[in-house]
Amino acid sequence: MNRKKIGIASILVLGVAFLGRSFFSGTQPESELPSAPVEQRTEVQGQSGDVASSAEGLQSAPQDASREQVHAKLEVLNEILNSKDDNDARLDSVLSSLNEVERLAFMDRYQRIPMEDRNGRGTIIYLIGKNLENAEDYKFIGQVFSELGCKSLSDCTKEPSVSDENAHHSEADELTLFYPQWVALKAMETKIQSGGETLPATVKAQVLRVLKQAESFDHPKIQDYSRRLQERLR
Amino acid sequence: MITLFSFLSILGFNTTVHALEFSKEVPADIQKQFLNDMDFIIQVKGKGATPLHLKTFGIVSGDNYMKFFNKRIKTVDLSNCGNPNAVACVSPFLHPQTINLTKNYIQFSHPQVARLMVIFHEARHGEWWKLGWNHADCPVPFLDKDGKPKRSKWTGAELAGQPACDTDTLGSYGLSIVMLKNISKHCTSCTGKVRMDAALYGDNQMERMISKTAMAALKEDLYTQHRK
Repeated sequence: MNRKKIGIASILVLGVAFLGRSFFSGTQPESELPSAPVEQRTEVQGQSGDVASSAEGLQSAPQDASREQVHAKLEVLNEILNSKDDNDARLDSVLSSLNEVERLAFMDRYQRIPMEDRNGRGTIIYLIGKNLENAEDYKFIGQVFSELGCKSLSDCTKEPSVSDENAHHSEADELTLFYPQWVALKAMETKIQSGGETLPATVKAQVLRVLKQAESFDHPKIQDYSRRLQERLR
Repeated sequence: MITLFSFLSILGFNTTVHALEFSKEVPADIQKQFLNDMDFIIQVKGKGATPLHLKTFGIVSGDNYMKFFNKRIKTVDLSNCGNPNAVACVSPFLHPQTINLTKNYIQFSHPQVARLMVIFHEARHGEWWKLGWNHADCPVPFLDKDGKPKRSKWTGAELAGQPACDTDTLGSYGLSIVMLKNISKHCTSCTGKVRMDAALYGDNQMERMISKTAMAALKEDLYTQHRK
């Protein structure tokens, strides 16, 4: 991903976070929301036509109702992340469908989850991955492969030692260390499966871009899986 | 003392669980997370199962998983399991009916299915009458499909020679593979995320199967056509 694109995405996320904090200053930090993101998004939309139509829809929607809905969904997300209950039925109901503003709010939430919360980060990628609609969504998924790999479940920056190796369950430990990346790959796989031969060229190109990013991620199994998915796209 | 039985009774679950006793050493937050995870597994409902799952558990259902678990584990204790990254362990010859949880059970952010995978893997080790389903030593050298030594991504530690592989189709690794892959395929009460995680971690455990016969049996059971 080039720097310009990363910059645009960062501005967007920061803008959404800032506006959210301003509007919901009385609520708990984890419920901070993107408030009236239309202006901020419009700046970005000039460089990403994919979100233009969604922006028009937002402008005509009652903003209070929209904010309440985003707020409600973020609260549900926070409850699920705090409970560590991956079988909370709301993952498949309330959070199954996310509009553009909600997805931006969830992306912002992702940035504020500690790196060590591998399942929490993976959960958000899973939810965004089910709602891939525009270039920003794919960009978000692709950025997961730009993250530094998590080195230890207790502290992602800590260099693990050989003596810490838990051979008995090290396979599963390593999967969890790279869980967000695997979930991102699974999202791409689902997209490929759902589209089959009829996947639109624009979507195909975006999926391929994410898979290329995965291929350059420093993990042999992730690289390998990405290559296999790319084969299925051809 | 909190028991799983009383917890479930309060919630009104109709399931055939026996009392599960927590040692007073187990902190309340670990107990709570463990009970929440078991609550999830108790509520699993499914349609069908593969032959190996039928043989081991029966159809995919919380009742069947709890029958399996309760037959083997009676108490929950706290330990560090001798490793800073361990989540749980069983000592097959000292205390086969006790599962030890470590503080990592709540400190590490594994998906819920991954925690349960470890719990059921360890419960299998509680079968003293099967000598705890001892693991086999991984072969030396232990190579991946590209002919490179299988090693830890970060530490570079090799698995070759470590007692962390299985030759039995339904040893601890095989059992958890069968359980997870069936949850991914047949659980009707599971969220999409749980089913995705179950497939991910189930596939991942196949790396530890080193017997061609066992691998063939698992592939036939889990990776061929859908079975009822």
